[in-house]
Amino acid sequence: MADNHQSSEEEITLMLKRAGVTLPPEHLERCCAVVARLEAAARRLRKDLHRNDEPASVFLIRR
Amino acid sequence: MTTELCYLSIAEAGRLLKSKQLSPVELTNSFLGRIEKIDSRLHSFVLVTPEEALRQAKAAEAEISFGRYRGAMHGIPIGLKDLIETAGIRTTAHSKVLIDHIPAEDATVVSRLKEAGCVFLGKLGCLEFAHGSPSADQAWPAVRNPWNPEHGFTGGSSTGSGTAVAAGLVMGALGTDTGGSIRNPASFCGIAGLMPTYGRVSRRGVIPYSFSLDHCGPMAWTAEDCAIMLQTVAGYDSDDPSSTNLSVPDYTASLNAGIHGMRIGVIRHFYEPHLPPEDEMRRAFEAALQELTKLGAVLEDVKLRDLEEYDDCKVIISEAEFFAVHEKDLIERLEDYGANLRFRALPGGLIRAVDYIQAQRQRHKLVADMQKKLAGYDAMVTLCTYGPAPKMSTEEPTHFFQRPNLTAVFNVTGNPAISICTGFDRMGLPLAMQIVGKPFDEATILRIAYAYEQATPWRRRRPSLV
Repeated sequence: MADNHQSSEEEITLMLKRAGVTLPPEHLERCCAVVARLEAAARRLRKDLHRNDEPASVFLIRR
Repeated sequence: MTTELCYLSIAEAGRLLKSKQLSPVELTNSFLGRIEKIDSRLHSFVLVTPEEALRQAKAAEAEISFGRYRGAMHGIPIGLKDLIETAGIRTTAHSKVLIDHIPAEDATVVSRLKEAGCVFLGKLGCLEFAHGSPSADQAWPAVRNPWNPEHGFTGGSSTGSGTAVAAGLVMGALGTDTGGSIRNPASFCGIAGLMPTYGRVSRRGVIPYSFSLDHCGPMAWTAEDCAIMLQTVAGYDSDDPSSTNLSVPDYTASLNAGIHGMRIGVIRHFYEPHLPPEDEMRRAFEAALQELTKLGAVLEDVKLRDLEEYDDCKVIISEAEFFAVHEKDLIERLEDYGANLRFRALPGGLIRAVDYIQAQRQRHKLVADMQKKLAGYDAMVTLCTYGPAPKMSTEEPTHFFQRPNLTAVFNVTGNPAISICTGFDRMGLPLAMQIVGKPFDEATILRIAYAYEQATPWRRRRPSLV
């Protein structure tokens, strides 16, 4: 799911194969729709975070 | 009489049980009879356990008659979402993948309810692994909405829990919530559903969807009943790595204290003007805000981050974590998953590690920002769903990605949130709002919900089923 790139059906099929999954053909269209949504979400994630912003202590603020 | 007993609240039944005016066995038999009579239309249960229920009811009756009353849940008949493990009783997550899964141990929440003397009526249907949507190839029929069994969807994923509570088939139920799975069915079924703060209720023995977003919590007819159930299941569990070691307050003690002077932030910008909710839902919400004002609360519009920012974080995290949980089975036995889950689950395996990490880093900012905003308020309110229950369909390809979810925001931030009924539309379907609290301050949102329920007539109407 590289930035600024929307994967094609062929790429998605190949990537799933690499992930160990054989995608039934009847699911290809809907699976691609979900991949497109996830890729768009990933593209929108902030890229400007400070290098010291850690993800590990998500709930530390409340403890 | 049977229907009247089944429509008692947990609080009402508890008082009768404690004073020995009501027998746990009589109460349990009423529920078992009602389940047999009407659940064939609703499909809320995937497994009814009458022998176990009656054994527990008899034990409760004996204890109470000997003066050993354990507390407000003693002798109360409830149900469990079939994602919650029960020792010796099949737990399937509504999936063929776990069709023969009989856990050796109870989930921590089940142990706590057993210690409280609850009666377990059985296991309640849900969306497959709390993530799928109904499809024709599943082992059980889709759960139906009791307000319109022919057409109404129950939301997801704690479908059976929402339906069974509203239909008077259980007095309360436990559900789980990763993006709204307690609050959405509560909204569509017209009940109260509380997602506690992340870490407040143990998830040990609850089959995971997404480790860092999953919550377990009560669903019941009223906010008061949710408070009673939460009291029983809340608290530290050293066997759950996400559990937080904080003392548990008395959730019912301040329920009746009113909300005069409370400051409540109103979140409208999540959906206005770009994602307009259905008119009746919006009008009911505005009317509810007026009611809160009449009760003495001070309301003020509040602006958080854009809804999409929370939603993007949520889907990247939840889909990656879901795939991680299911990787082995998705690779080795994909055909055992329902059709509508297969295509949803597989793309999670394509999320880059860097995107998952960036989502968690962004989430950290969103958590901090939310707590900063909430510092100026006692609670916040917003819509729970864009409209009442939609039509049931087993052909829903990607509907769950079409609009950002209004509930997942608070899974991302971990705040407690409760969905309560705000009325009914012209078709008789329930409408709802959610009330959001500060971390570990479930008591305040329960208090607001209770005050609103007491001031409005919505708790007096039940679905017409018989």
